[in-house]
Amino acid sequence: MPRPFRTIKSPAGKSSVSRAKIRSAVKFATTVHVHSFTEAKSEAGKKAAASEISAAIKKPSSINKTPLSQITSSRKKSFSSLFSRSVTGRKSSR
Amino acid sequence: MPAQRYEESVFINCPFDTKYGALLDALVFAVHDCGFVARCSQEIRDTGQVRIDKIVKLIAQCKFGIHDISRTELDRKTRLPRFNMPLELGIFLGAKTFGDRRQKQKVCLVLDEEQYRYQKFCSDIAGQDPSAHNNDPATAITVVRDWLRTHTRFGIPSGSRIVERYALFRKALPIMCKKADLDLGKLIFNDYTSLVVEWLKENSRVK
Repeated sequence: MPRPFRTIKSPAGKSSVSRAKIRSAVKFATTVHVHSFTEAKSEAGKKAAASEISAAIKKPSSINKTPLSQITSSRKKSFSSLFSRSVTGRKSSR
Repeated sequence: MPAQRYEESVFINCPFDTKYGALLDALVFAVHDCGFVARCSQEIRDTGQVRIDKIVKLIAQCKFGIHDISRTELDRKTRLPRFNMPLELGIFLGAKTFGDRRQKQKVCLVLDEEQYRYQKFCSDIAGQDPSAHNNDPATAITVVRDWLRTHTRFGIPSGSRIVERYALFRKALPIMCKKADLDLGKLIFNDYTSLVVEWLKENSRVK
């Protein structure tokens, strides 16, 4: 008998944004990837990437639609740089 | 909380400073990708509740506990160490020892940044067999995955697969935040876990 596989469980806490909005953002990010955003190093590059994303959010059909998984699988070396920064805001130490 | 949630809940006891943030983000992702639910004292923002009561209640609701005792440095201002993580580990172990039948099922993973370093400052936990994450999120993910796998009957992807998925998630995160009107870099715990869960549901279904 095949071993049952794990299912993803709902989070315990309530998000400040609606679930529908989160879902729509996830679907958007999964199918649409703006290349320059995470790779941009200079301030000008980051600004350009941010405006590219804004444009993409307004008009998704106008940008590159390579699935994210295909792009990242060939760039495993850059993984560590993706992990090194915290995204969750913290107010206190413990 | 439904009774079955106890079996799925993982209490994360770790520092909440920016320095540790990258590891906490990775731990939360790994827990959810393994099919469990990450719980943390930051998920409840109720100033009317006494902090220790909130933590004790959370611990009682979680069968699993990840306790990172790596923060041994002195506080810059006070020049004193922080004892919250060892205290919460003590509460968890106390619940396991003195609690009812359900609490006795508790399982914990003790993390430190280097293997055997704990022997110098907390030798009494030698029997808990602490694991090292070397301050590396990818290592932390693998350690957590392997630990959870030994306590479940269902299949969990290997650590390297979870690390790959985490990289994809991190790539997508800025775009998701922008689209959801969330400030990347100031995400609260509940927003982050919601993004993690929805992304995993969208991206890691068995097809």
